[in-house]
Amino acid sequence: MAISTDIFSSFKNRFLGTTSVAPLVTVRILFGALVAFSTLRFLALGWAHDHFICADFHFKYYGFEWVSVPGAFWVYALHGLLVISSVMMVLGLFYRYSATATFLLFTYIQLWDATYYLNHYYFISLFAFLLIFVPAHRSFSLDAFRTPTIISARVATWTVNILKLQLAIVYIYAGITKINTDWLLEALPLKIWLPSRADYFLLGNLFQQEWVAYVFSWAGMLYDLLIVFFLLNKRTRVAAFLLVVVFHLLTRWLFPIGVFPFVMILMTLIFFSDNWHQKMQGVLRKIVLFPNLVLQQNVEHSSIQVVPFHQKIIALILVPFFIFQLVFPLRSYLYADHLFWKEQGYRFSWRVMLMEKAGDATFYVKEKNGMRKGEVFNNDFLTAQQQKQLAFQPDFILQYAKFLKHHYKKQGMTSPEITAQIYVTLNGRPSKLFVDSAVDLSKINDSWASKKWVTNYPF
Amino acid sequence: MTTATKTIRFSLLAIGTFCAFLFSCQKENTAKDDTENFDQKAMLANYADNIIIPSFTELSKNIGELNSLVIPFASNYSEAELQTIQQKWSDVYTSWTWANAYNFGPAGEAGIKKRLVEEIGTWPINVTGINSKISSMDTSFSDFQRDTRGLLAIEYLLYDEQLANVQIVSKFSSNPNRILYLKAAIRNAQQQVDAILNEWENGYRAEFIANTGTSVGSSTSLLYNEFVRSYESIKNFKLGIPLGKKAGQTSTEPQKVEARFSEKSLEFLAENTKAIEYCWLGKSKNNMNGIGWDDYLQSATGGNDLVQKTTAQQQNIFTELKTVGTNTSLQQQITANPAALENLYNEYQKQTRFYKSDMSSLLGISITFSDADGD
Repeated sequence: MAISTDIFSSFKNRFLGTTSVAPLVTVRILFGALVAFSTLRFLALGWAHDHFICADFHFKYYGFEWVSVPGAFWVYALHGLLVISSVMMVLGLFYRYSATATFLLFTYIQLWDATYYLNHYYFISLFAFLLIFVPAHRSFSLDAFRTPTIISARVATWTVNILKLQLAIVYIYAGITKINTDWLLEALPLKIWLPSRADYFLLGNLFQQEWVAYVFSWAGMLYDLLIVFFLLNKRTRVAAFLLVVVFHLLTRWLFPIGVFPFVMILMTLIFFSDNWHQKMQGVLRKIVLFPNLVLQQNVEHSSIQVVPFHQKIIALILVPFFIFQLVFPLRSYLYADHLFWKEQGYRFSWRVMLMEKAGDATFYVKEKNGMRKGEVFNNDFLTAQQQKQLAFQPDFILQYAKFLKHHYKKQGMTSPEITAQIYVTLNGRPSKLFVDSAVDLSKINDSWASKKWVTNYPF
Repeated sequence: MTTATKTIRFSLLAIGTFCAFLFSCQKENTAKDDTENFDQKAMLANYADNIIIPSFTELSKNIGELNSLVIPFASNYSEAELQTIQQKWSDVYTSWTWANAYNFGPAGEAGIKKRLVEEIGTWPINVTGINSKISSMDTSFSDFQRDTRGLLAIEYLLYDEQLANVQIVSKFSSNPNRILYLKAAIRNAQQQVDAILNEWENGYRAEFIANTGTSVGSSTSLLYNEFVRSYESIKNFKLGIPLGKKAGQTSTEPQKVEARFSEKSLEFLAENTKAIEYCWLGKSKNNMNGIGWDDYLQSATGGNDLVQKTTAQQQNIFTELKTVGTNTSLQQQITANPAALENLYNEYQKQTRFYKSDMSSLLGISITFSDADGD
């Protein structure tokens, strides 16, 4: 009885108790800055143009086919607004609105073209969504400066813990997905990727060794599975964070993964103590000459003030949100087919750098009952990256087939049939036929059902 | 506080040990065998010194000779002189088939300048455009009509698949602008090729060899991507479109063959295919087999299997090329002998996946030209 009461009260504390607002403030500032930086980097590299403006065709997410890429002006305008809203988050200005705008804009832009799906973009969307509900502007913000009555030193504990939970889900699921035979028993795809880094400073030679790929594979799996627990534990926290830094910088060095490592490194700071966050913000306050508003107030009063919440309404949103997140990544286990081959349930499941997959897809158009079978030059319609993704992602293949059918109908064909000869290589294995070459792909509709028109795993 | 200090000390110690461990291993490996490591620099040096620079050198030499042959022709139009020039143009184009796969670095896109293959290798050429430029004597070549200049515009001026040489000579003698246009077109191609060769010899060679790795922008990635594009150009544009293979085409289009006026498309096709094979092998035109893609693949797990498949498929392509032969021109065979060409086309198609997906996947080469994040 005593134990269960204990667990219950500790559980209750974790959600309904109170804690310092400081970690939320850190996260607000860093997250806003990362989104702003990532968006500016995206624009500076010309990707807004390359990905969205110069392409005529876009791959869509299932259920979000209605989202279309706006004209060039709006592509840039929405990116600009995203920069503004994320900078407003940093400043804590009209926070609830700027957090909501950041979430909506970022997510909307991601829905434009599924070619560019990245797990860390998904993470940013989810995290931005959670930040809408937490009172991260109640201290060290322009909102607090404008309206000192909102200042609060303490917030409900759950507001910090949902962010930790979100990070835990990402890491632990990323660890679970690494438990597969290719990753652990064959050290694939690292056995392919690491040797290509022969020119790397100091470690280039080492990357040639097969055992190094095994060490990295197993270490990566264990890291993802366990790091959150070491971050939660006060005694191991500093060492764990050093590991976080080393791990993510190493992956940044090895792979073209953009800002993802920095997102993870900076967001794990939320595991640090309230004291640490307060100290850091004390330093930052002095640098930017921001008055310490909490101290100007009645300290005693502010230290006990707890931000009131419409807790029930929020629980109604967040409980299903987290249940979804716990269940949705597991949907792939419902399919009997090989996950890497048919990719049923691959996206939105924290499968990060899990396979080396490439393909060569040749599409053919034939008038029904006609003799002439024409080959499609994919280059005429798709960017290099779209062509690359098209060659091995079943849902893209169907979308493209439908697009081609529509295109050639407009060109004057009456009933075009779309077939394809697609060869796919997975983790370095010799390429094999990916779809039934005789099937009219434009007649197949994508669904949650098992993709029978994709060949069975051939290896 | 003390626990934190302890933790930090412990982690520093752990990291230090780990680093020491890495260093010791590295030494051991280098000493034991460094044959296991593929020497990418040696491969790039082989491509630069034995393949790319000699190819541009020969192309440049041939265009230079073509240029000097035109001078006596201009003062004395004769059939014999025309024939010599035609032969030289054929040499130029043959050497171009060995140089057309290296459109990066000095031969890459820069500002308004396109890749070399687009600048001097565009076809089908624009006959009307060329003739109107001849009459208006517009030889600035500064517009975007790349189909009015380049090696195949020169071909058009020197050959006519329907006329005898004597009639071509009279085309020159009756219109003084024609020879001026020819000279200007040759000079334009020469300048571009010479500039590229000059850059390779003075600076870019070292830069190319030093730029190791397999990511976007690395020499290996540039070389690989242009190799694949060149290969696909054979299949799609030199054969596919004339055969009416492209979706949307309603019939064959023999007039779209690569070297329509000289009717030498098949010779060039065979030569280009050989150049691609040699490139893959890292073999120079004079049969010196250096470190190439095949050796690189052999260094990767599973590479041997792919090397064998690729080599076998190369042989299949050459067998079909032999069947097609060069006695009858490509445009005639498209109507007279479509089945053989169809087979050839299919053999090219079968090779594509080995070059495209299997090879880049095994070697971990970035197959896009623009950068992007992965995850």
